Amino acid sequence: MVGNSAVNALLQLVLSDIEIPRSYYEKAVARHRSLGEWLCRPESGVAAFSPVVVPQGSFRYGTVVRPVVQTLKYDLDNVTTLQIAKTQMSQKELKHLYGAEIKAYAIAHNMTDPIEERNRCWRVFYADAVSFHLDSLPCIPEDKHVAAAILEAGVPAHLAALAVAITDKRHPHYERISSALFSSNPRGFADWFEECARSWALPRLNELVKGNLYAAVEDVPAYEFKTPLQQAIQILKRHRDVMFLPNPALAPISMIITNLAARAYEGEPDVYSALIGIVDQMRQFVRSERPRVPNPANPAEDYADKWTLNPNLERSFWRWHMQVQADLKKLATFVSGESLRDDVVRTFGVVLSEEQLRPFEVSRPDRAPTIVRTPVVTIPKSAPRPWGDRHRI
Amino acid sequence: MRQPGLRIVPGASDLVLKGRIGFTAQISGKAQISDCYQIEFRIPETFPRKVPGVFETGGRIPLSYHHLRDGSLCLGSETRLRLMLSEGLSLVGFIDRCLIPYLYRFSYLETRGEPPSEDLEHGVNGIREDLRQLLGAKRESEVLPFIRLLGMRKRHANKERCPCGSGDRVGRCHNRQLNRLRERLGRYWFRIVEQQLLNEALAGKSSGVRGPVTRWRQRDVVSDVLWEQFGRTHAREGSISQSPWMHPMVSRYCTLT
Repeated sequence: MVGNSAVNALLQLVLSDIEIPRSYYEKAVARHRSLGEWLCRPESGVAAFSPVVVPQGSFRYGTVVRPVVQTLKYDLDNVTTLQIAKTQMSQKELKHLYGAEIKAYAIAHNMTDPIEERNRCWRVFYADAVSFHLDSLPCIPEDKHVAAAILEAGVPAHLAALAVAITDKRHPHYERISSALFSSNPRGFADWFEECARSWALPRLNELVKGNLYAAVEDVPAYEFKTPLQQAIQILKRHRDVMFLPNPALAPISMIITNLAARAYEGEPDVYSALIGIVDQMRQFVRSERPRVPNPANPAEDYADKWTLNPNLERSFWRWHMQVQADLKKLATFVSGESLRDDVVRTFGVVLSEEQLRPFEVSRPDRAPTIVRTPVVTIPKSAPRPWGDRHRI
Repeated sequence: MRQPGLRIVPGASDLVLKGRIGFTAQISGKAQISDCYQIEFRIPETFPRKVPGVFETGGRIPLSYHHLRDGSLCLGSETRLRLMLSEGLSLVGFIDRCLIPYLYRFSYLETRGEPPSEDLEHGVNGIREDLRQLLGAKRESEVLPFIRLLGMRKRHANKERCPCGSGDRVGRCHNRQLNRLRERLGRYWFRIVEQQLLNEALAGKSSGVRGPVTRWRQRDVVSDVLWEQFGRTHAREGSISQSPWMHPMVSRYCTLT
């Protein structure tokens, strides 16, 4: 068994491999800003509805991981709130009004791939060196009584106020005017997550403000300060990506991992103890009844709603949880340099060089093969005996 | 962590674990062997009520050595394996007590040219011998009557004459041994075993026993029947969310650590 510091050093090596360059985060910010400016230009079809574009997802939380397979694209998300009443137009009209602007944006920016309509958002494919696609979600402010109900459920007022109504192609009233839109609160979740992370990052935030890089602590984006929480989420997401590489459709979604990790994190000072704590605690935040994994900014919204339709997704989540728990325990038990390198490749898809592994070998002078270290199993007389075909070697 | 080389392979149905199994093992009076194999486990949701399928994926153990028809390793008689699992054996316990003995025997045979001790005889004779040992019966002829009693309700079986030849009724003789086995595996299981023995006897030399003449093939036939039996029972007993793979709190039988 080795100390936590060695495991943390190893995890930092993994993190440095899966972390994206800072320029990617900056590029993402520029793209959100560019879309916002496009939507607000005078000739825009939605400019009259005062569009507000807010970044979402892992680029906002600072939890992006490099894709395991280089051909996979980075996933950018944003939410565009339009000041439209629910009864002003149907979901389909709203979606296509917004879609027309997104299409024009893609053409004006020389994107060769056509935009793609998803159930709730529009997907735009950027055509440059870094493979990005942007999922842009149009939405409208939620009715006051819905926000009041969210407030009553125990959500802080500033988060409840961010609730929105979204369009969904699967909604039974998608094509007609109705006030029964699906409710969501992606901005509330993002604010909640940032509050969780910021509360553990005050020294780093103050440092950035003192260095005159930002005017106030609130202005510092999440990717600028990396807490053990965000690093732990990156490790967990990479573990998930590697484990489900043969079958990505069954992989637990990032929102579930991010949500559960943020709830389970208790301010552990380093990434390894954060991971151990998160993985041990996260199971208690999966409810036995619906909503199984609620949005903390809108408890009626279930991030695990697909588990009901496809029980294999829930099965996969628990299997991943079992595997990540075993792998984290295993990290603390280094057997030999060879085994460590193989384990890191198998677990995180990261190939460490001899030089990177050297510090760990120094702390492990005994490099006996694994099989010698296993306890001796004494086979009793009552052990089962093979009874199939007789041996014929 | 006993078997750190095993990893979960994501899939839709059975839990699949794949990787290296390393061990150091010994049979009393025989050489100690350290070895490792590439193994794949297919663990059904009904584990530990249903025996996992175990496959050697390194291509080292030839198919001619104790394999079942589906290519899985034949670790032992199904009754003994199920009995061991019914004791609350975890997956790690299953590896230690059921798989490693098999792998040890193969490694021993491979290096020394002979098995460390006698394997069970092929087919029904091996099953009968294994059951005789499990029942603690003196003669093989007692096995089928005992199995028949195990397939009956306790209150009916206790009124029958004990097959051991004591002259007493079962309730005053072997009732404790039989009740223990019946409670562990259920009488439906022993009805299946009885049918196997009867069918084999009919297909072979014995006479004077009645039963359908469908030749019993191998373990997977039995497993199919059991799946029908216990799969239905399982579905009746609880919803999907009560499955051990859904609820971490009840997955005590299967842990990777």
